[in-house]
Amino acid sequence: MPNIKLFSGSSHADLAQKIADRLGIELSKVVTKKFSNQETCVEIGESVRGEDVYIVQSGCGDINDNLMEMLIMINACKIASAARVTAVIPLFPYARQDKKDKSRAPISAKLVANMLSVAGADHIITMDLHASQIQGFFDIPVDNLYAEPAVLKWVRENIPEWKNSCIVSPDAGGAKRVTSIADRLNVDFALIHKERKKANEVASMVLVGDVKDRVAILVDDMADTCGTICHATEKLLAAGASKVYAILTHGIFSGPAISRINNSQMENVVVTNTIPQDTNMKHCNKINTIDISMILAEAIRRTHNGESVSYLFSHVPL
Amino acid sequence: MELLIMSYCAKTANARRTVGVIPYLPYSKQSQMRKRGSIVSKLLAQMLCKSGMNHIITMDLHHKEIQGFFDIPVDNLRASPFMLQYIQENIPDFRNAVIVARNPGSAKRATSFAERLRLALAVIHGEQKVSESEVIDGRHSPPTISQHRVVGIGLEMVPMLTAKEKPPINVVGDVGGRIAIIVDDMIDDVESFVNAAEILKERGAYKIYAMATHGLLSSDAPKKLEESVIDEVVVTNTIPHELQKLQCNKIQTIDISVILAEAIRRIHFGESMSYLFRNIASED
Repeated sequence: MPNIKLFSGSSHADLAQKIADRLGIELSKVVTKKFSNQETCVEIGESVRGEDVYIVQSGCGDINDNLMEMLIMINACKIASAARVTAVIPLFPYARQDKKDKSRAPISAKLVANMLSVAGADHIITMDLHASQIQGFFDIPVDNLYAEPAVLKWVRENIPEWKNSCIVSPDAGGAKRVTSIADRLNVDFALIHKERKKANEVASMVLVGDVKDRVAILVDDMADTCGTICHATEKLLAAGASKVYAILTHGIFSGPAISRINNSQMENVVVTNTIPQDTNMKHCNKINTIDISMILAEAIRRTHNGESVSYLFSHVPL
Repeated sequence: MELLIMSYCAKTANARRTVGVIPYLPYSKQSQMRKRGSIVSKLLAQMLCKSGMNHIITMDLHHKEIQGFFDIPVDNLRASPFMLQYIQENIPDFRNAVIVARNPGSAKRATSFAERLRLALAVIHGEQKVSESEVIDGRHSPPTISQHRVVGIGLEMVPMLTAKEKPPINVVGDVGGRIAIIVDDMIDDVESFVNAAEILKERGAYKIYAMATHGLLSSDAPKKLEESVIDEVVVTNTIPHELQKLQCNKIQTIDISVILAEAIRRIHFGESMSYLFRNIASED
């Protein structure tokens, strides 16, 4: 009977440790370093022959280096005769480049999918993919877990006026996600879209829906430079919202994001810990984190035991 | 099946290049995993690639990410320039119109139309749909409270998520006293369009158009459209619908053969296709 071997990449060692604690096992030994010419070197420290290997690496920080490290680790385990290699990727890298929306644009998500398969991954576990069609880019099984149950739990526990709130989508593409949350909380929803009234004029944001005197909760899957959510906050406050919260699954926060959040009038920005948030939380006290390590740990345990994972699509394990 | 066999036949007869022109790509709605279902789009893409196609030309894919399912180049042409032209030429008083998304999933497409015509947007939400209930198949084991668990927190589980209570159908946005144009990529099961039209009429829209790229209009769709409050249904000729036109005279057709012919010509002569995509918004 193979055992679970959990390896951590260098992108998010903290999450991997939390997952290991939830599963009640130790993180397996691996040494990742760089040679002097900057080539990544991976040495697996224990035997993986015949074992069920899980590699935890998120597409954050030095994305390209972390991706290369993950591919090398998967390959190392595969050729060391692991029974099955599963890549646990909380934030899937290059997920936004998933379609050819301009001439001669690459579909990088498909390329990453091909590379993961070629490296030898047998299974992928990821969270809140930017588009669920990315599951179809792979020929191997992909488990796309949802942070939605954890988000709903947070809203019910931490926003006192949630029953009279309004869930808002900062752009038209997130309308489906927002209506799903709004239905489960039984509250209304609104959306914001850009409208150019005249040619060559900067696009103004138009609110479709009513937020007057209510708490507005902006929901999106990722926040990178935070330009969109900061403009959306101004718009919502101008339209009469009493408070604005922002809940995002992946808090990338690159570039001017932290200063934008500090200067904006958002009450709180809530993200999950798919990306390490310790430095961000030091620079900005509006950021809160939702811990999703138990969802990932449960998914790993169920996959290992051959049980159904669908339970996780509507429940948060404690 | 016929398409796959024809393509394979061309390959084995030593054709230099086989380009599949598939205006409406079937199974494009089944492009993601739903509860142990199959991703049929992916299977279809692999079958098309294996059968010898080197290039695919299609129109208004239901999800643009389907392009990534193929290992061969896919050109996703857009019908929206034709539809915008139709709106501007054939709907008098279109500046007093509102673009309506019939469900939140089509909000993106509706927004791109609204942006390009500089009109307002509305979104309909909360249709009465039979919810897919979770079938208990005996493999749902709650996590074992075993020695694996790190002690510290209470052992009670978070109560079962309340089922999605679909609110009664509602329009977010203002349509009073204006023309409503419902925009979507396909019209197949018209139930939702008819319901959307009813509620738009209730909210004060005085004329209702339904525009879609692919008019599948299967089973008794023409009859339902004829009886509904929709004033006009506009589809392109990606799918033949002569029979449906006879049954319902609200249906108008836009001819898009021009763009397909141009695409074929440009691919044959190796010219750039960017000209065909020059006015497309990023969300279209």
